[in-house]
Amino acid sequence: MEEFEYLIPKNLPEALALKARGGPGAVFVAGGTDVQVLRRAGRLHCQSLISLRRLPELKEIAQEGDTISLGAGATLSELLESALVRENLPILCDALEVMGCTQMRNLATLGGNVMSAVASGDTLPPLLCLEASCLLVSARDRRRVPITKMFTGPRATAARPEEILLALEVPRPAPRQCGAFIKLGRRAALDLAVVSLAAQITLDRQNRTIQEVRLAAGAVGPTPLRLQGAEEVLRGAAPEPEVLARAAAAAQEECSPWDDVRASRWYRREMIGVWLPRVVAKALARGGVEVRP
Amino acid sequence: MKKTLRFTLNGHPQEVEVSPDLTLLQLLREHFQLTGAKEGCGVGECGACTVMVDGRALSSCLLPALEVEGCQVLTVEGLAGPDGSLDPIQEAFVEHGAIQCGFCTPGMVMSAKALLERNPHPDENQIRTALEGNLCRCTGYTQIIEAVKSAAARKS
Repeated sequence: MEEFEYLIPKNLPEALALKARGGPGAVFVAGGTDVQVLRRAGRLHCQSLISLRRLPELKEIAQEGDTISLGAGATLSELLESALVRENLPILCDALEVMGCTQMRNLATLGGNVMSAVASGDTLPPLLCLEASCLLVSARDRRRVPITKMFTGPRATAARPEEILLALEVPRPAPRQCGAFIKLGRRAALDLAVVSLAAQITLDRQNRTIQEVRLAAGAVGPTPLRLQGAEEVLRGAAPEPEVLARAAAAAQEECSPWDDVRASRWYRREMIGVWLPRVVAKALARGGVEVRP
Repeated sequence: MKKTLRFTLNGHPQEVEVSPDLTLLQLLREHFQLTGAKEGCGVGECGACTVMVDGRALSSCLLPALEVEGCQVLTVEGLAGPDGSLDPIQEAFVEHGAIQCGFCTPGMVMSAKALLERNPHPDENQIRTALEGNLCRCTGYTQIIEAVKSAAARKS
């Protein structure tokens, strides 16, 4: 058996070349807060790890026209320190703030959270609500996969093995949009979500109706999911408690939670019912509309 | 295959041959005999292995040693002055009795150090956030939070 190698390419072409040489036995790693833990637990076997931590191409957080580009290699801390992210994407900041702990946020990357593709990944419901697109690059080409098409199953994505996720591209939210994310864990820090919910809402000019809305949930199905039934209830409706309650019932219908060590299927479904109105109210409050669910 | 790693450890340049599987924590403890950082959980969830790399607190049990090439690594052993005088954070921990068995203490101190370097005047919430990744089974945390508050006040 060949000896294990830890490879640190200096730029993107070098990383792609190392992957071409290493084949299926070469696995990409960024912060390592997931990959290293899986390796140590014997759940991931590989010949080499290719580190993406030092690729300058993956680090940029920038606005180009109406798109905010979030480098896949930006750490959660770097994103939280970005004025661009703070001002435009409070829905994402809500999630970043409650992920892991300070030491983990200093290592873990946004791209890593996406590529790990677990249903409880905290940035995933916000990215679904923001209709982000995943910019994937290989030695041959570059392509964009909408985040709604990215998650194909637990720990499975639409990315090909030889592709590197370069950035998440997010359309810059219009001024009248407001968003929020909330997470229920067993404790406040260092925990995976039992249930997580995100909402991105566009109000009309008088703040009387919800013009457009996107809702997403984590940890209540095999992949993070958009709650289109609940969105349907809210779209065009007045932001009132009774409407929020109907949306919650629709969300409970369309999610498919499971039993595990963190919570039962029953509890997760109940919590979706309790927390959906709360996340919508939190988003609306940021838009200047007070609703008490 | 071992590779040459060059980095700065507690202010001193180092050059060392390391294997690809070695973590920064193992390098510190086993090669440099700096046993302040501890392995608690080994999966980045307890904070006992916290050290600073280029000014940020992180879990040294998760980081391959090769990743600190060219970086400034600071451990609890690097905090005291050349004359043995303690860092104000260490002094505050002593004064507030923010210690019982001591296993979590180096990690707590390094998380606090990283916080105060970035934000010399944190409020209590910011202190709690900076320490949320450091678990302690003895103190109940209150003395630790108080110690960090008083270290911050002392610095100003």
